[in-house]
Amino acid sequence: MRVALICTGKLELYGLKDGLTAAFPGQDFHCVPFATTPGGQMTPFNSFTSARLPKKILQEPDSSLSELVGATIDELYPVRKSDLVFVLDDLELCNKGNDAVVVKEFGRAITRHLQRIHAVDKFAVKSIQQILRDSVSFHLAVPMIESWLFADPTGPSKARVPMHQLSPLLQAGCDS
Amino acid sequence: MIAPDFTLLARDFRVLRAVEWRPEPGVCLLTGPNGSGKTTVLSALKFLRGLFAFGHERSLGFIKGVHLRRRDALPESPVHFELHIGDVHWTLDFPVDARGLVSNYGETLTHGDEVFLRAAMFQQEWFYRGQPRRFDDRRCCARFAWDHEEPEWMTPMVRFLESIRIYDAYRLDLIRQPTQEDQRRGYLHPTGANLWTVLNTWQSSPRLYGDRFAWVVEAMRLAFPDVVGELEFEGTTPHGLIFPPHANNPDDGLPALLEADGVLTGFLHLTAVAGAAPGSIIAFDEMENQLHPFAIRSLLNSMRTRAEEQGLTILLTTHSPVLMNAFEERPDQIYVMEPGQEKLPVALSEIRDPVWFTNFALGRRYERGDFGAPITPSE
Repeated sequence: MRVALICTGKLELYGLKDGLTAAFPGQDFHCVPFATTPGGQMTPFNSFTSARLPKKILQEPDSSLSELVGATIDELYPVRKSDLVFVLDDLELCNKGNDAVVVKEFGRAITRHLQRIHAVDKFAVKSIQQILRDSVSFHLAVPMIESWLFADPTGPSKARVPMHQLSPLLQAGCDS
Repeated sequence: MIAPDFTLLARDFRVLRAVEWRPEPGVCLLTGPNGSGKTTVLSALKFLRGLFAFGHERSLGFIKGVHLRRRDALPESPVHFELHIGDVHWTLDFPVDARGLVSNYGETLTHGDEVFLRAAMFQQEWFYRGQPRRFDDRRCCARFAWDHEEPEWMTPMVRFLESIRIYDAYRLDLIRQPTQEDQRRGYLHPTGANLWTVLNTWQSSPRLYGDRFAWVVEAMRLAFPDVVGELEFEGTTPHGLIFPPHANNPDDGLPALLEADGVLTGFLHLTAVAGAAPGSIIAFDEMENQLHPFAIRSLLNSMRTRAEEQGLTILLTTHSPVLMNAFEERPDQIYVMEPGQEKLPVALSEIRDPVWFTNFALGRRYERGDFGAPITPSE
């Protein structure tokens, strides 16, 4: 199965594919970057949680979010490039406690995008809706993924980082 | 005024394998990778115009007439052009090698089903209304026929050819320091060298040239709102003095010598458009060069308005995402030198589903390499 990973952080962009491939061998994971340099260097999409989202949002979705949604649909329609699409963003500190609003905002952006599609091809909307339901999942990392690694010294080993790649653990009073 | 409805075909011309292009009226974009042949498509139009106006020798000079044939074309295949306007069809075949034309070229002009004139490649005579004639003239056969009897049905083709203007080589150095006056006053020279002469003439002769000067200055104010207020000419200076908005002091006039490249480019684009006769075709190679995104959008808006009023077809080759984003509503007016397509350029709306256009802005699509992208070694 071909699975697209649409991520908003470098850590996820460079690490998630290998991690998921190790956990689910036989599946074809690939990252969709925001951009790729001619040298092949990938950059991730921008997070849409970098500024606190108000509970009631009236304006157009943030452009970063629109990009995420556009990239998601682009993997599936009109050409089916992937069987599944995982969208992964993490909750920045400014949105602490605002998880539900963030998730709702992703759904709202999808709805707005479907309205745009309706304006150009109303017959495609239903099938795209069905494809999105069947094939897309949105994952919000709370707290943000880096915090698992940096706030918990044992995080890397829990995340199965090989022993020889772990940073040395220093102990106060013993190591200088 | 109705924009010209024409189809250009070319085969094995420089990097172009097969061209078939019928651009929509109004402002159109032509985009694609570097080296894909955008400028060469414009060269084909320039060559046909020059061929009809001046004959093949001068016209080949306009397009640096060597290496005319596509590198991978069969050695015996000619460089082929066709121009269709209504029921008039002009066909040309040029036998060439790497150094240029090797013998007499082939030419056919038909009106409906009637073959009006015909010349075969390598031959010493050609047929005009079925009668043989010797090649004794530098003019192309179609021009000979036009000069000879001006058939009414040729008029749309002649008007079309004479109206073509290709702007692909502005010389800002000449515009900053004009040393000699160009005699042409009605329209802009391809290098732009006569910019100030043209504008000065338009300003001083409104009955002859109508609103052209006023239109250029107003469009410049919109594109460069903090720089351009008025354009004036002083008797002793061959170039314009550009006054910022609300300037009252005569010393506030900035000579063109000191003006920003982008401002001069704006004057050139607008003067070229204003000088185009109704129903003309006018092309700019990489129109966005030197321009701020605001100016690009503003100049485009002015061009669109003028094109609609005057029935112009304005062709812009570009790599600018800013320009592409301004065509979100008209993807049928974006043409792409898309690798792998049988005939080029191809309208973006023909090769992409309408839903595809909703997912990203077109400029972003271009940046992502979703269309008009170069072929990378891994592909």
